[in-house]
Amino acid sequence: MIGIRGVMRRLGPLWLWAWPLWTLVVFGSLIPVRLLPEGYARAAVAVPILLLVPGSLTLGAVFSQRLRPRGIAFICFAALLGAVWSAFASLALYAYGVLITADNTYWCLLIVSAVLAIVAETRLLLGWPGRGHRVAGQPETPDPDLSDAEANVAKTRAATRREGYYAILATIVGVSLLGGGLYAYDHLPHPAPTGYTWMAWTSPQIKGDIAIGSAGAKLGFQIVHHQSDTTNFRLSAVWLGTPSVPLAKSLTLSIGPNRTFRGAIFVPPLPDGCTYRIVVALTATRQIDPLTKKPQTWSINADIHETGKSLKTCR
Amino acid sequence: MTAAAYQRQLNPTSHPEPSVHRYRALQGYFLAVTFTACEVGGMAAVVRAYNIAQTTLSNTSEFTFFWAGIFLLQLPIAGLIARRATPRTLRAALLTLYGLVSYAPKLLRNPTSPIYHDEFAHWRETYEILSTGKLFQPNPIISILARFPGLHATTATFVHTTGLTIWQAATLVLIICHVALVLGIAALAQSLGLSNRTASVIAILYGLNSSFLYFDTQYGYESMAITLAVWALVSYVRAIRSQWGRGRAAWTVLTVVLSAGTVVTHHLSTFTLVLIMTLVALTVSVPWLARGEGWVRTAATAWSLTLITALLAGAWFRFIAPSTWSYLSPFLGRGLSELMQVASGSGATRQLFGASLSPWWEQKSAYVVPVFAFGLAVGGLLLIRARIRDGSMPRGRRRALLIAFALLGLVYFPSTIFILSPAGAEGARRSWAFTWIGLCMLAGPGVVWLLDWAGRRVHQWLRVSLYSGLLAALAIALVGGTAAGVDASYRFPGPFLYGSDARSITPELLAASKRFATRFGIGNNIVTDRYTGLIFGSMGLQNPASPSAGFPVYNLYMAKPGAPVRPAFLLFDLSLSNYTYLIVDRRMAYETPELGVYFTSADPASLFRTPGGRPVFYGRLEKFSKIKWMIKVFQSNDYSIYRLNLPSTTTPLIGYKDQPPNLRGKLVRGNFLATP
Repeated sequence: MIGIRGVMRRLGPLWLWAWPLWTLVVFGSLIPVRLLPEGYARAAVAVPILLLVPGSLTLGAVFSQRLRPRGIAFICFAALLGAVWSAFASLALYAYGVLITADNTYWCLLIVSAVLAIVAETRLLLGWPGRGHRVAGQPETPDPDLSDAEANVAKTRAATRREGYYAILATIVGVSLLGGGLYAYDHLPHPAPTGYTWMAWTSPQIKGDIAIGSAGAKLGFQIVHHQSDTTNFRLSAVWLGTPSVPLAKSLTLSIGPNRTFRGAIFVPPLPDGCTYRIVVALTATRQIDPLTKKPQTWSINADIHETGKSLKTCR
Repeated sequence: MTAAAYQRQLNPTSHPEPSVHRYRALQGYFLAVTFTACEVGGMAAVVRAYNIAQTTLSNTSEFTFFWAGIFLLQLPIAGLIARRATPRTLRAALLTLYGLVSYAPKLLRNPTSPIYHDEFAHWRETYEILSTGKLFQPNPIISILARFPGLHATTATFVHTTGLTIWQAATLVLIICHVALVLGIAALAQSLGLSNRTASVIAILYGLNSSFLYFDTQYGYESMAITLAVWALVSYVRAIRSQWGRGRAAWTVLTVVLSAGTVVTHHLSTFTLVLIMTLVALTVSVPWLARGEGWVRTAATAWSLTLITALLAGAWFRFIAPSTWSYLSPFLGRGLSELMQVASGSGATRQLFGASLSPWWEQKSAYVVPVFAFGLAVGGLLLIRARIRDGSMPRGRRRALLIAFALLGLVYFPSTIFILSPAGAEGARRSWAFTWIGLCMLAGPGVVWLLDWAGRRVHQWLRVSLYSGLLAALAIALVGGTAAGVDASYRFPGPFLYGSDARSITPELLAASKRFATRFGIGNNIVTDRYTGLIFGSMGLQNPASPSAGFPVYNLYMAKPGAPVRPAFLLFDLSLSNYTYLIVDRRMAYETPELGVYFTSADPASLFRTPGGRPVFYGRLEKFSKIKWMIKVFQSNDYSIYRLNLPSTTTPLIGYKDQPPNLRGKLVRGNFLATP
């Protein structure tokens, strides 16, 4: 019976011999990964592939197996190269006038990864024991520039695998701490957001004067009350001028928490071709404005004129 | 004597007594449990600090909890890393953990959306790439960043691949970059020939610089570029130190790729990278430092890589980002001229911690940091001298590289003077993230020497006291370094604070921005203040004006009621550039901004006059309701939005009549209607 260790032992050389190609296959698997629901679950699978595959293939293409950075350094280089490649892919797409979309970025990175995988695999095959011109390997001469610390490190290459495991464990612990902190912060009581009220026109977008027909016009507006309690308001409308005079009889309103009041002001036909400014104002009768120390008010205005009457009639 | 006992005597370390085994195991468990408790407790304390800051009026307890949390999170890691007995495999893991937990303050500060000034600009740029599918889209908040798309393109790829929101993807990119930065500093130190322990201590020391906890963890191009630059330097140093034919070509390729990544990501990091490479290339060309086997080839490699990076940067700045120099030069130029004015007595220095919300002990600690750094730097220089003298650092690449990074570190001290100049302070702070790389390389060996010296003391109480003293110094430097960075309003949540980037975002402002985009569409050219513009220009997808002396839109706000807006060309310019809305935050008439900025950092001094003890805008904002070419289309508690119907040469404005309509002596009356 072959145990897991036996399978691993048999697969080991297969991986070592063709890791660039296997890694490329892993990158190809980003297409089925996209079937996962969007969000953290997909990110947990896709981000390591997206970052580490192009990066590790770059390292494989550039370095011989013996000189390639190992352990944490390999992961960091691979991740950063992956990030750089994603930026370069976007630049390449832009340069070729292709839109930067999920699909186009994926195909671009796949092409880059494929090229890198071919180079890395070629290097691997040329450098594999028993093949190519590097069979014998070069005799190691100690570098006089190496410090004692580096000389010791060079002897302890085996430790790099353990370094990787510890780093993975540290990542899990660190991410759990961050996640736990976020969860706790999110679940602690937070102060209620400060409430507010706003009013705005809802009629067709105002870009200049509003034309009033011979039958007058209704100008719609909206009052949104995002407060935790019911507030009493007085709604008024005036013709702006010196002096301003009422346009309509004031209205008393009581708007509940998180409620919206939709209303309109009816503007009768105008006597001449002049443009007039109307102001619709809202006053909170029992709410003192902390800045002005007066009752809080809101207002909107609009300029109106009658279409049927000539400007010449405005005196 | 039994055979086993005899064996144990022969090799006492390989077969310790079972009781020693048990003692060590117990010690290990105790250490692990204590360490875990510290980390969990530290995170809880930081969470509590933010919660206090958010729910109570300003006091110092949030600072106390915060630092208690950070100390619990970071000092045990630092202690374990510095411990001689810690295996090197564990140190890398501890550094990874350090990188992750040191991201906690920023992560908790704004877990769901941007809040720092630059973050809004970068968010908008990433949004533009995702929505248009194109790079280099104009950015209305910080125009220059559109020309450096590295960070935004990477974030967009993350969004495309994972389906996360922009902010979630950005956070992921930033965490990776932050952890990689910590590991990169350690890798750089190791590539300079320092031991694993010293390198790890150096990475911890780097965490004391003022940008580490908050500035270089924000969603900004520097946060990614500094990591790329550090790893480019790792490759560069490796390329220099590798022997010909033993990986030098590979490290060279890696240096070029990572340098190119830096070039497309951030201008200042690119400049600094080229400067550091030049410094290194210079030192490896000095025979007294570098002469050794193959040193000419080494120098050639260093210069070639420096030249390639400089050419890449030059090409990018020339063809893609030609406005870079004009963007950066005022900071340096103004900083220098302000310092000259201070020196000649014709100008005033910037008041340090002038409007800071930090408690006194944070502020005092900030002054201690340069002293602490100076002491360690002197110690580091003495150690280098001693090693050169005793022959343990012979001429060669390693000596030259260490000297180069020591020189880089020494730049920190003159740069601190710029903190006294209003324009130079920002640049000085940003430079520290780079100069501290060198400073730590200089100080790290000194710290390790101190630790070992303390460890050699015979009396345990003396050893413990010395270790405690070193830990306390580290803690004070951590507090001071962070306090010297961003202001407390950036660091802590809290109630609304007018004129602070990070604490002026309210549900009301977000609702106004959302309503505006729904009602008037996106991409409108608008005039508004800095803080309103941040939200309208990012989440609201509008284009706020960039005020300047040549385009003084603040004069619209400053003009007295009834007085014409000056200069006369301003309205014409606004009309020509199709500015269609003006947004007013009425609080500008009642409060002075916390950051001392209403519109831009180049606001004229006239905006800060306070006639009668009130802001200059007091009594001048109500005029907008009566101006003939403005229509008020929205008002909330604090924000008013006006439609601009600016007069132009082709369509002269007549405006409304200043008298109510009158129909044969009677007033024209309408009425209100409630609609469903």
